[in-house]
Order: sequence, then structure tokens, then C-alpha cells
Amino acid sequence: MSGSVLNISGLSVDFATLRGPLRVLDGVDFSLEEGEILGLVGESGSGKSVSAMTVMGLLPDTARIAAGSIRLGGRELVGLGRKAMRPLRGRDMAMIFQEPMTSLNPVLTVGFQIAETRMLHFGESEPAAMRKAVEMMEAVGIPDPAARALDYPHQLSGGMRQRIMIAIAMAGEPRLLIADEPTTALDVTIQAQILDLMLDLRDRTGTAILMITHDMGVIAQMADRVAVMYAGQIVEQAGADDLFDHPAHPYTNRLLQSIPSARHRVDRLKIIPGTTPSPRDFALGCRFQPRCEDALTRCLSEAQVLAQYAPDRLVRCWRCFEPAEGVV
Amino acid sequence: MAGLFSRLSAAWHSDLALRFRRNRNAMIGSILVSLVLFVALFGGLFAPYEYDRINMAVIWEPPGAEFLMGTDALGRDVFSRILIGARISMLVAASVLAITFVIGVTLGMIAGYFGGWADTLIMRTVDIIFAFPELILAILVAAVIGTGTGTVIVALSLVWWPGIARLTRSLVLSLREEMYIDAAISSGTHPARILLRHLLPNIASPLIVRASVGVGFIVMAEATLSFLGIGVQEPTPTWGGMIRDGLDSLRTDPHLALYSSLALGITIIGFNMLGDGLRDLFDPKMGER
Amino acid sequence: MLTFIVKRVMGLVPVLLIAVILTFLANQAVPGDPIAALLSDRSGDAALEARLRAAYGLDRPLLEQFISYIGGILSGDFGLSFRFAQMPVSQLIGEGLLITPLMALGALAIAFPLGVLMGTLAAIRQNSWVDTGIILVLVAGISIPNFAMATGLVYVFALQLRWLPVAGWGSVEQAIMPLTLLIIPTAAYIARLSRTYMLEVLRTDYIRTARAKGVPERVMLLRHALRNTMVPLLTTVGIILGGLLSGTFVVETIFNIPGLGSLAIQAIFARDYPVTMAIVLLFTAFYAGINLLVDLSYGLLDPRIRVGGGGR
Repeated sequence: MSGSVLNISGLSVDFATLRGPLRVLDGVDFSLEEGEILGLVGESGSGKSVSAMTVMGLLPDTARIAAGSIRLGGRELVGLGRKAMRPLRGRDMAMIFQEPMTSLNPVLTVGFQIAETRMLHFGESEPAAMRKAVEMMEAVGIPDPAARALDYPHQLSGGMRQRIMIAIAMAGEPRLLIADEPTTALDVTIQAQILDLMLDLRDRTGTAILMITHDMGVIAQMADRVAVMYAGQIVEQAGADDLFDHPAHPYTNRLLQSIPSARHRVDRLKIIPGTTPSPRDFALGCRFQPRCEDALTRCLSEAQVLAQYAPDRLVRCWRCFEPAEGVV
Repeated sequence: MAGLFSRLSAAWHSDLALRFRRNRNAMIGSILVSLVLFVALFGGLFAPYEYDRINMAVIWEPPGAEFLMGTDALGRDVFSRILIGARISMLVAASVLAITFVIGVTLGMIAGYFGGWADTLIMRTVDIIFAFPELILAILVAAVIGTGTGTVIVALSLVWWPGIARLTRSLVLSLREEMYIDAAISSGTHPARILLRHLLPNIASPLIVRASVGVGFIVMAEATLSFLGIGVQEPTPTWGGMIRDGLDSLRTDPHLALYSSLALGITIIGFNMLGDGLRDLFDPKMGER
Repeated sequence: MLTFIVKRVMGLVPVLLIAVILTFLANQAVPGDPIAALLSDRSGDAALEARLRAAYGLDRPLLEQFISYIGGILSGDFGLSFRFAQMPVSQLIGEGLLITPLMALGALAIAFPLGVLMGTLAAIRQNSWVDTGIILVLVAGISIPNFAMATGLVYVFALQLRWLPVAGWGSVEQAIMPLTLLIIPTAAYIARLSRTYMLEVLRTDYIRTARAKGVPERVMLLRHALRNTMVPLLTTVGIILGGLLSGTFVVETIFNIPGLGSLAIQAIFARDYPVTMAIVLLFTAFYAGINLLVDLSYGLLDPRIRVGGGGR
């Protein structure tokens, strides 16, 4: 696990609040290789988006990296000032967001919004950049791209707009693409198309993708490896197949059980009782313990670390290492 | 039941009160406004002289022990006139507010709720009035019915009610689709009751914000009309008129104009800050006018 | 697009028509007989009275008067002044016509960029000292009426420091204070609005996208943010103009500027209704015209209006 594209270790992020700093990310580790798709999965509030924003350097001023390192292609990002970060954004790493309907500037043509990336990072002239933009639009599957390039965002559907977002991101030829819930706001059929497109782009360009989602179905379709996040921590990391066949962490287990399958009907969807704790209420010891059916005594008081469970498998769980002991 | 209600109401009050106290605009604004309202209500008791007491022996006295803020061209005590001026301004503002809100809200609700020709008629009228710049309309009214306090009230009411009507109408339109209105309609409730009992309470807070934001401008408009001479007439003291009187003597006896300007400025600033603060509290996304 | 323009211009006609009707009716509704006022001393002279009445067209039936009124307006003839016997109104207001609209537009031209600049500055430095300071200045600028400000400014700059003349019109120095008094409240109003709109825009998803693309702050402000604040700002130009118009009335009165505003005020006091009505009509037309221009310029700024929505 060399993390040649992205290597995050021990990342902790604090948010300033009226009652003191709140640790929203706590010792997060994960990494991405060249051309790999890592699925970062968890419920809302787990810290997935914060991780993404931290990597991109888009945290608000009230947030602060308290500890840890972020290495992009070997280069340390923590501690870089705004000035140094800016040329990297959109060029070495790019990000697409969840809401295609509102993520594009309504007063600029879509072609220009793609071309801007080229003009900014490659110094291309506007005509040259616009030509490239049309190429990109074709690459992301937009019909009649030369004409569409002069359209404004409001003239395109949600699926089209998300393709434009992808085109904007890929126009910078980034080594890392961060996708934060890119299909959540789209129709199911469009979802499949967009995900397919992303797989295709990965195959063609070798860009690594950090796919952030709460949808295990998306993970199943896209991810090479998976990192499961809960309450600001990574609780499990494994290859995708491995994770689906043999989930280790109780939370992962529950996540997988909550996927309705098209093949067999279930009487009731298994839900995970309780809700994600807010950072203020993180439990001592294991953070999942309040909702865990298999908790041990030590889960109440001892915090675990992400430990090697099997080759290419990391888990943060006492139960996984000591299955023989009784339940609380 | 009563115990629950009073506990709920206490909790609600304290949360709102807390946010109110944290809002700098609202706090400073309400202090200034309270000051002005106090003067308006009780100023007459503190006025050392009658506002229209002419004394040609002491014209243009500078501020001193006898006349706190000096005297004007007719020997009248400026301080007393400023105190009474507060009452006049508040009177006019209250009248205009009352009239514009009664007319505007009623017509707005009718237009929004019933639609149809009533709506068209009312909104056309609103559009026509909007086509005229404010002051021009006021001047038109003054030209026709003459000058004076009544004119000011009529003119300003004429200018302002369309804005209130338009706001009310759009609020009603957005609420009309709500489920509880449907429920009320289908249970056969009389429209007037629906309007009063169901709609009005729910559109109250944006309207309150609008009222508070508007008071400052009403005071300013009245002062402007009085300054131009087509508003409140002598001998009734109005800050706008006093500024005009004092302007010519600015070189030698600036106290009349300066103190009146101060009073006017403080009052309007106070109302505007209070309005802003209330807007932040109740409806942070509201537009202007 | 063309049909849009034509429709809007046509929409202007009923408004102006109503304005004309209202001013005509108001003219009729005012109490007292203007001819009697003119005659004041020589009320016995019936021949003079008849001549005057004929000259003013007041001896004809109402409808005829109305028609000739409209006809006159279209050809620039607003009738005769009551105050200055038999002097055409158009002659009286001719000079003011050049002064007042120019002052208003000039003030707007300076106040607009000034306001947008201040508002944007406050927005990007939200909650800093700069922001708080600017907000305080803006509240004062909007709240203190221009004539109240005038007393302070005139006292300090004209009387105490003697940097600027007290009144009059014609030289550059004389224009400074009146224009400043027009600019301050206008710029303050615009600044408050642009601060609000800019704050909203800076919170949008598309600005987040621009940041994620690595767009530098300055480019982002100018290219991405500013244009999005312009459209809502434009919707308020009408109100701003209204305020400017009342501002010119006040400023002209204070500084003895022979513009339409001071003329109108004098006309009201002198009961010179034709002049008053003519000025009312002109201002309304001016106001309506600017609003029309603003409406038309939306299409230029907001592609959502210019180009219909698609959304397949």
C-alpha cells in the first residue's frame, strides 16, 4: 500500500465552535494507487465529505488540520498555504459534487466553464481551450458537443450537467478525481450511465478516483477497494470483493445487510438502530459500540486502532480479533 | 394544559429573546427607538416651554442654560420643539403604518386568495402606483389637496400601500397551496375566517419585518416633505421643517439645523437598525423595499 | 427578443396615458380659479378676464381641453404658466430639463460602482473590522436624510473650512456638494444590497466548483460572482432612481440650483399647476423609461432570460 497517488495518514481535523474545537476527523488513514477506485463509504455525518474537502484544501476558515499528513503524489499538502494549494486544485486533483443542478455558474456557457480549466492550468488561449472543451464534452458522452458548448447550464438536464462537471474535472488531466456522491441526486438510470462513464474514463486515462458515497450499490459497481468510515474514523479497509464476501466490522455487516437485493425479497429492510452520533457525543472506547449488537466489555472503554486483520485488510474492532468472548 | 402552554411559551420566548439580545442591530436599534418613543409620548411633560411660545426678545439665542438648544427665528425654544417634533413624527408614522397595513394587507389577501378579476384589478392599480416615483406622487397629492399633516399622511399612505399589498399577495399565494388551507376549505369554513384565522397569523412575521424596516423610511419621507415645505406646516414643529428654517442661518446660528438633524438622524438610524435586526431574526432571506 | 422589446415598450403607453389623465384631472381638481388668482388686482376688467381665459384655453369644454392637452404634450407644449402670465411652461422648464436628469444620472453613474465596490469588499471580508466598519457607515448613509447630512457638510466644508461654496450652480466646485449628497445615500443603498447578494453568491455551489477548479480569488469575484449579483441589483434601479429623484428635489432647494426639482417646489407654493403637472409628467416618463431600459438589460445579463430553458 504505497499510496502512490494519495496517501493520508493520521489525519485529524478540528472545527472551531462556540464551545471549543470539535474533532470531526480522528486519525483517518487511507490511500490510493494509480488508476485505482477507492470507495469511501459511510452514513451522512461520518466525515466522508470533510475528508474530501480537507484533501482539496476547501475547508472553511473555522476548520483546522490538527494532525496528520496528506501526500498527493508524494507531495505533502498539510502546511501548504493557500497560494501554494491553488495551482494544484483542478490540475493535480479535481473534485465533483453532489448537486449538478446548482454546481454550474448560470451566467457562463458550459463550454467556457470547461475551457477555463485549460486556460488556468495550461495557459491555453480561449479558442484553443474551447476546442479542447468540445473534445472533453464528446469524451463524456454529450451529443452534438460543438453546439452544446455554447449552451448555458439551465438548458441542460441533470445528467448532462453532471457530465459537464466530470468534463471540467477531467480537463485538468488530474491524477486524482474526488467524486462526492456524484450520482445521489440523479435518476437511477442516469446513475448507471454516469458511473459507467467514470469507469470508462478511469480505464482510458488512469486517473485514480476517490468515490465517496453512502450507497453500497455504487460501491459494488465501482470500487476496487473500500474504506468504511464511521464517526470520523476509518473502521475497515479492504478490497471490494473481499469486503462484500467477508465483511469483518459489525458496521460493515449492517451496511451490507441494508442493501435491498433485486433477487430476493425481504420482509423488512434491516435498519441499523440508532443514529450516527454527532462529534460532540462520540463515545469513549469504540464509537460504534452504542449501536453494536456484538459489543464486548472492552469496547466500552478501550479505543481501538486500525489493525491488520488479514492480508490487505484493516479493521478497527475488538470483536473481530476476539470472536470467542461473550457479548456485553 | 395551561401549564404546558405556559412552559412552551416561556421556552419560545427565551430562545427568541436570546437571539434578540445577541443581535447587535436589534439591541442598539431598540434602545434608540425606545428613547424616541419615550420622548414622543412623554416629551411634552419635560418641555420647558410651549413649542409655539413666541418671544421676539430672545430670537436666535445660542444654546445655554435658559434655552438648552437655543431659540429659533421667533424666539421659540428649540429643545421643546424638538421634543414635540418627536411626537409629530411618530404620529405620522403610526398613522401611515396603520392605514397602509390595513389597506395593503386586506387587498393583498383578497388578491392572493380569491384571484380572478379582483386580483387583476388590485394588481393593476398597484402597478400604476408603482410606475410613479414616490416623491412625485406625494407632490401630486400636495398639489391637489394642499399642504399639511393630513396631506403627508394621505400621500405617504398612497405611496406605500401597494408595496404591502404586493408582499401580502405573494405570501398568501405561497401559503394557499398548504394542506391546512385545503383542509379548512373542504370543511366548509367561511373564507373570511380562513383569511383571518389561518392565513394571517402565518404571514404575520414577514409583515412585521416589513413594517419595522419601513418605519424608518416613513419618518424620512415625512421629514423630506416637511423640509420641502409641502408637509407639516407651522407652527407645528417637525424636524424636517426645522432643518429648513435653520439652513439659512447656518453660518451664524447653526444650532437649529444641527440639533434637528441630529434628532432626525438618530431616530431613523434607530428604526433602521431595529428593522434590520428584526429581519435577521425572523426572515434572514427577505429582500429589500 | 424583438417581440419582448416591443411588448415592453407598448406596456409603457398605458402607464404614461394614465399619468397624463391623472395630471390633467388633478389640474382640474385643484381648488380656486387660476384666472381669478392671476387677475387678483384687476378683477373688474371683464375683457382682460375673457382674453386670459381664452389664452389659457379654459373657456373650452373639458374634453376639448384634454385632447389639446395631449396634443400639446406630444409636441412639447405644456401650456402656459399660471405664475408667470402667459409664459409657456416649456420655456420655464427648459433649463431645468438639462440639469436635473443629468445630476441624477451622474450621481447614479458614480454611486453604482462605488456601492458595488464597498458592498463586495464588505462581503469578502465578512465579520472582519472592515465589514463592520463599512456596515456602520452604510447604515448612517441610508438613515440620515440628505438634507440633514447637508447641514453638517455645509457647516463644516462651506462655512468653517471654506473649501466649497455654499450655494449656486455653474462651476465645478458648486457641483461637488450637491452631487456628494446625492451619491452618499445612493451608494450606501447599493452597497448594502450588493453585500447581501454577494454573500449569497459566495455561498453557492457554483462558487464552490470554481474554487475546486483552482480559480484565483480575483478572477472568481469578477468573472464568477459579480455577474450573478448584477441581476438582482438591477431590479432595484427603479427604487434607487425614485430615491435619487427626491434627492434632487432636496438638493436643488438647498443649493439654489435651477433644476426641475426646485422649480416644482416653487410651482406648488405659487399654485402654478401647469408647471407642477408638466414636471410630474416628465419625471414619471423619465422614471418609466429608465425602468424599461433596466428591464431590457436583464436579457443581456441573465442568460436564463435571454435564452429559453431546455432541460431535456
